[in-house]
Amino acid sequence: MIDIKNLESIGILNPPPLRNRGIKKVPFVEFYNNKIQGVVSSGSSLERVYVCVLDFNTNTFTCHTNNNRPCGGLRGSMCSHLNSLLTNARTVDSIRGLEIINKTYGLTQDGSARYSEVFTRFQEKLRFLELNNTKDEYIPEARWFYTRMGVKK
Amino acid sequence: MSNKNTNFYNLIGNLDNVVKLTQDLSSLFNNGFSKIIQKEKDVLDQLAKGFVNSPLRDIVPQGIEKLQKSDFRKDNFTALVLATTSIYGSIHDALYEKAGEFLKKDITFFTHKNDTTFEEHSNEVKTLLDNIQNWLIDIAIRGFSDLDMESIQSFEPVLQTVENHKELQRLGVILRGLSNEIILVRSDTKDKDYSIQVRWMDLWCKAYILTLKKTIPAKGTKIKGNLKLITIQTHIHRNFLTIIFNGILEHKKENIYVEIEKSKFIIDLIPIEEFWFQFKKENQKLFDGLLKSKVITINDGVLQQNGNLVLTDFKLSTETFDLLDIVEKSVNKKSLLISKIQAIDRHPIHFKLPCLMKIEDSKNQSVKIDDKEIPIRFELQPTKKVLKTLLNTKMLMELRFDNGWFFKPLTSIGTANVFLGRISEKITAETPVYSILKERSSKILRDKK
Repeated sequence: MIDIKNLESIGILNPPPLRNRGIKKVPFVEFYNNKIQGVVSSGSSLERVYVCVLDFNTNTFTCHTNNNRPCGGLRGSMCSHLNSLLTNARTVDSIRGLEIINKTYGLTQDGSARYSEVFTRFQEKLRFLELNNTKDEYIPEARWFYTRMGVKK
Repeated sequence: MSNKNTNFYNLIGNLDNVVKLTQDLSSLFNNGFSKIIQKEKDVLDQLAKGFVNSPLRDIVPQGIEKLQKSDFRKDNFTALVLATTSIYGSIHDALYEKAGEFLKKDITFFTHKNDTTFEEHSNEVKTLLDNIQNWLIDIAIRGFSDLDMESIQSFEPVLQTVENHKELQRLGVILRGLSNEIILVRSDTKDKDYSIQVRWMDLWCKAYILTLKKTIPAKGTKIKGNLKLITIQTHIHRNFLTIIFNGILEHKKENIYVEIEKSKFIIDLIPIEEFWFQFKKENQKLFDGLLKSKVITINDGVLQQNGNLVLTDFKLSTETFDLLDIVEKSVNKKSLLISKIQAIDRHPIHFKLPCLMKIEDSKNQSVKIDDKEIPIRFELQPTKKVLKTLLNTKMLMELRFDNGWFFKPLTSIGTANVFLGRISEKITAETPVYSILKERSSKILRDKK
């Protein structure tokens, strides 16, 4: 049987972002497997993004580019990318964000850790933007799915 | 109305019994064929008996008998899927017959000259479809209620290939929805209601049938004429956002009830409100026609078999129309035609009949016709205050069926301007998330390729 903890671990129950999120700076942020993780845009290049992770399983934080190069801003304390990630994590889920962010003080840097799966998860969500462009066939079954909002039974 | 599949009813009785049979079948899918119990074998027996005088009289009873004996080969599941598709078609047709009886209406259909055709898939696609059939059969054997995360996740690579394949978009949408539906609903005890579980079997069967042959949709009927859009519906699901414009099409002196449907995948990173804006950008003339009650002149369009209108050359005319006038003159008249849905798509959920009705009792939220109490189901339940304003006003509704009859309110004629005004507000509120992600997506995804 599927339990709710498992669902959270694959990120499927993450709430949708609130409108005031800084999407341009932080296009992707999520709570996943006892981690805050996401993608933060580079200030200088559209093609480059940083993968930022605060891992409460290992009590470490890291930041590296999508090509797995280390972030130059990591010098024992959190870089500006990680700080941006944290600020935006609070807008995704303010209660959980606060709880977790309070624990960030005990974290230490692990500059060698790589979390390429975070970038893959981000790409997976972007993939649906492309699919929308090609989905021109009429699909009556789109209506077969249960509306989760206010249907009177 | 003629019904080619009436032999099914003759054997097992009335419409309620047939609907009950599909519900029982759905329970079997939820429990799993590997754990089939005697009661479920009886349900399969009942199903097989329904086909003894039909063209499927050999394949269905034989396939079902083998499934009862745990012979889970593809041919046997194929027989079962052909049977359920036939039953859904029969129910769909019977619903129009019944609705005509209790609304005391003659329901007339706009008939198309051509129908869906089928052909073989290419070998490359066949291999992919084989994998999908294997997965579908695997989850049916295990039962929807007993699936673990692994059984869904292991299918993800195949699913992504299907979604990216131009010929298999429809199948991709159904499979993505089904797999996410199972994951989400199984985790949430509040959502474990009967109607959702029934839908899983429907989706499973539809996905399976699309793996059998390549479906070539009928060309539909070429259309020229005037279109008056009378309302818009939205359907918000975890994976999809669908908008449907409903309108009255005047074509060769006939009035046809049509819809123009647009769907998008919902992307977690984008607020729902932004999707409205995207819909507006892509359908500006249609929104203008609806919001300003302007007649749309169609020079070139196609009315598909399922009632969906595809417009290629059309423009907004300066002529305007009165909503109440057009609804009263068309919806309540015998002259209104409904587009006959192609056989492969006939399903009770696609039954719809526009009506002009009043909500007389806000507490019970139902409409009484003779001795029948038919519930009203809003897509989004209005507040008590809004509901009060809707009382006793004429409303455009659709009579629908989803494990029972219900009315779905579409537009309150008296307050339509307020409703449409809200839509108008929604679609003008652009926020930048979509365009930023689109920019990121075009850079990042292409660089990766």
